[in-house]
Amino acid sequence: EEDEENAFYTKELPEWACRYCGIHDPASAVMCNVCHKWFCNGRGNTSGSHIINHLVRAKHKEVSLHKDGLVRDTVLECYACAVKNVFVLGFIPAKAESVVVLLCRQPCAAQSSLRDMNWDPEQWKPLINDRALLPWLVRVPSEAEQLRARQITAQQINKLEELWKENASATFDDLERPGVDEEPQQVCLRYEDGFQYQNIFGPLVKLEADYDKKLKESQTQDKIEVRWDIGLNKKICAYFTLAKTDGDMRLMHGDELRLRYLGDLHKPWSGVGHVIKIPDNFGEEVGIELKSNVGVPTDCRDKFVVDFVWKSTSFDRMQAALRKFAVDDSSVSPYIYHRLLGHVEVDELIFRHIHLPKQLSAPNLPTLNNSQQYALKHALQRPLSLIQGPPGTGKTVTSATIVYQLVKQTGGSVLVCAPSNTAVDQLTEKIHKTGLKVVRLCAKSREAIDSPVSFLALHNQIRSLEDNGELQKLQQLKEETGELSSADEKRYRMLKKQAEKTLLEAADVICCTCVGAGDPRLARLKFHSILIDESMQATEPECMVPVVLGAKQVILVGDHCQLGPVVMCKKASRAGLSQSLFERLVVLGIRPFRLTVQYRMHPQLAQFPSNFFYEGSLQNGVADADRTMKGVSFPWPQADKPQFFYVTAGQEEIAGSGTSYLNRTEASSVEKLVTRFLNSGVKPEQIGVITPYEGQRAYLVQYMQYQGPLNQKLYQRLEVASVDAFQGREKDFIIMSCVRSNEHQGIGFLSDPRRLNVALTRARYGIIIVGNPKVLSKQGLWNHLLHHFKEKKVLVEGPLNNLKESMMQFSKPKRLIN
Amino acid sequence: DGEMLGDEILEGDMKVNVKHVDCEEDTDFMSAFDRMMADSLMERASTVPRPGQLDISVPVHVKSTAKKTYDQLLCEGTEEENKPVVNFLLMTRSGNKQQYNSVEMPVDSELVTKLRTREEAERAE
Ligand SMILES: [Zn+2]
Ligand SMILES: [Zn+2]
Ligand SMILES: [Zn+2]
Repeated sequence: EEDEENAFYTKELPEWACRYCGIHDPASAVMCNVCHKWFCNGRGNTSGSHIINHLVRAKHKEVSLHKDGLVRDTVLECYACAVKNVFVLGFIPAKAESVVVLLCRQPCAAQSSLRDMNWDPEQWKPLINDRALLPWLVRVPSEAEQLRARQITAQQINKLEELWKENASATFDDLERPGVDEEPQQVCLRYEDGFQYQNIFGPLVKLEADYDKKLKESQTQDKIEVRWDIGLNKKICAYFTLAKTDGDMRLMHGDELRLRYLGDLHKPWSGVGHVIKIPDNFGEEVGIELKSNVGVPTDCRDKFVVDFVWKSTSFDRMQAALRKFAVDDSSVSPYIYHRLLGHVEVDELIFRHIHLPKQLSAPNLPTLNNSQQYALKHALQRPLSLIQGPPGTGKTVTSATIVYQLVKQTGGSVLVCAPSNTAVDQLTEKIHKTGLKVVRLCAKSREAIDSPVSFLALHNQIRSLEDNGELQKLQQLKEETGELSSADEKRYRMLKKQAEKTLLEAADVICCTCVGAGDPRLARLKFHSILIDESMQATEPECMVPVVLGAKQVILVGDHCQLGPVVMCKKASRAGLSQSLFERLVVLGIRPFRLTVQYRMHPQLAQFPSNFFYEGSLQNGVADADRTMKGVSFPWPQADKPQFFYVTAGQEEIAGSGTSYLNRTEASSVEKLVTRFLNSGVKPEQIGVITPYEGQRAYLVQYMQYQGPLNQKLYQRLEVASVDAFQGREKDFIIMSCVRSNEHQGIGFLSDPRRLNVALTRARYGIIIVGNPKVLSKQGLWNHLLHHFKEKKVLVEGPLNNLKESMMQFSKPKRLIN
Repeated sequence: DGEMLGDEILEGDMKVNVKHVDCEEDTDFMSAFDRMMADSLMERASTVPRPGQLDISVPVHVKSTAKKTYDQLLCEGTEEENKPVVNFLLMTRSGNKQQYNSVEMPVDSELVTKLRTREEAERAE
């Protein structure tokens, strides 16, 4: 038998043999038109057939069939418009004859005129069903054939696709060559010393940097049309639309893009700019502000190319922090050094000299409740503390009060950081209210971006400095003319540097992102007290950037029951880079101090999250009445419980049309719910729509704007985003579209309890979950959630104006092991 | 109960899937697939067909061969399970070349079911 198997591999296979598994029946073979490799229509042990696996991973979209196949020698394309993207192709039957025709779903199959020509467009079905090509088009190899073929795993498929990016003719055997498979060293709980720490984290940061670089540099797009504009600061801005890329890469404010002119109406030109607008509900345009106005071909409109500029800055700063932690003994106090490395022999230290004031609050901020006061006392008295702020428990107010008290106690300046700019801005705003002198340090690339705390930004504070006439004059001149003489430029830079130094030294508090703390302008300063908010969303090396600026006292605020940092490189993530410092310290036995009163959610909404994520410890700081919106009539199935699970096991799924991965049924339910809210007087800004998949997000936005009965503008103002994008924020009403799964997949994304926790805790007044309970109930935590809804009699189905309790049965909840 | 539920979901949709292995790479593939599907559709959302493009008629010679009754079209399948199939004609185009291929639709597909019910209804009239 083994010989037979070997013979199967060694025999020369025809060119149409599946590049993954070797199956070579012409009836099962499909060729990718982009890379000319052949694949079979069997799924082996994965969730999609091999050809679909390839198309998705390589981002290829067009295929041809074999000359001896079921359908001979055909490039699959739309009969009417000749589009070849197999992901939009399908077929419809004739009304009177036994004939079917290949048509794309949009626009061809959507035309009503087809009906007059005796076609039945209602019966349109996609060519890809359940992630395989239709079996009457391309044969699915039998079970026996598949078992005899090479058993390639999803991991191996992934690696092979990666190899092909560098060497198109690589084969399965190349996977076993050394080097491809090497895994980096895993992170530890405890470290011998700073060198070991650096030796483990350094390579992981490098992996992530390489991944990021590769991703960004592969994103060049050509045939770009540009619209020119002049910004308020006289800088030239370019606006253009980028083709939808694979979505792995999200363009962000402050990213750098390079624009190049390739036409012949102007001499060759290229210029770099920062992103100032990204695609949103209002338009797909991307905007950049060019760094230099010199020689820009503003009279040309087309034939431009856009490259993504990769910047190593943030990774360089993390590496520098790791190095400093290892070699520089003034980077942190000895106590912090040992605690961070997990050395247990270090006794817990309490600052005895701290004199706690009676009034533990800060001017212009709400008075703290008991748990917040305890957290504050705890943090002030200890060199290292963790504060856990579950959703809506006043984390930002508590942090701001801690910062205020720290400044009062120590008189020194405090460094306040968070991983994201949004979180930094929120905290900056609160700290500013207390009357402290705050400077918000922004990356140079983000200076053009407006925020609620722009006036506190260092670059803006410099403008309003009173006693520096010369600097202001030069600045004005520079803005008006665009350029200074080199002598003036030198003088300007020197004066600016001086002014920056003065402002930074005089500040009570400096706020910036974690990576921003590596800014050279802070390099000379020492910070004894450092507070990091949302710290569970930062990787460890990211957290170290502010910490190594001299920390003697570190306060990490966060919630390890919510989402962790985003690490794109799978290898680095698997090795533990996606575990936050906060989490590791909790595992090391440092007990986080928990804030226990929530002020966000209607008490009914808080019940489940409290019980399942916080051991029932969340108390309600708001009453039912505070979270009942007056004048809004919405058909909640239980008037006193503003939540329900809207069962959608639509007709579509039973018909097996195969398009439900987009989940049109859920999208239409979401649209109806949104419309109902809007009609009952709720403003679009009060509603958030959460969906775990980017695909469903894009679809929902489009669907509501085209299909919703109300003015398109209303739907535009509503926020539709992923769970991850909603973390740290709240909305009055949340509608969540779960997106159906089927038998070949688990519920993946949604099975991460931390993500579910975040999703369930964004709403203040009401939440509606739209989904298929049958599939979801198979996962432990969801099963509990569904039973919770059922017990409350809010598991419902039917039309919105006549919601009825669903009688659907599913298995009993199992006890959860936490 | 839980047991029953599993069967219900699998019903009618079972494909050959030797032994599915759950892993991160596979889950990632599934979300990438969803995204590709959605993005592809989105890209087409604003496309308008050219006038005349949609004039798809079944050629006369095809019409005459394709107009058969369900019973005439029914035949034994070539697949190993020997499930009966129904012969249909698939109209495709590769570039300017029009092609007509005979294809075997599963007897339990929606398409075939519809064909049969229509014939029954016509007979009843
Ligand atoms: Zn294969
Ligand atoms: Zn390909
Ligand atoms: Zn078409």
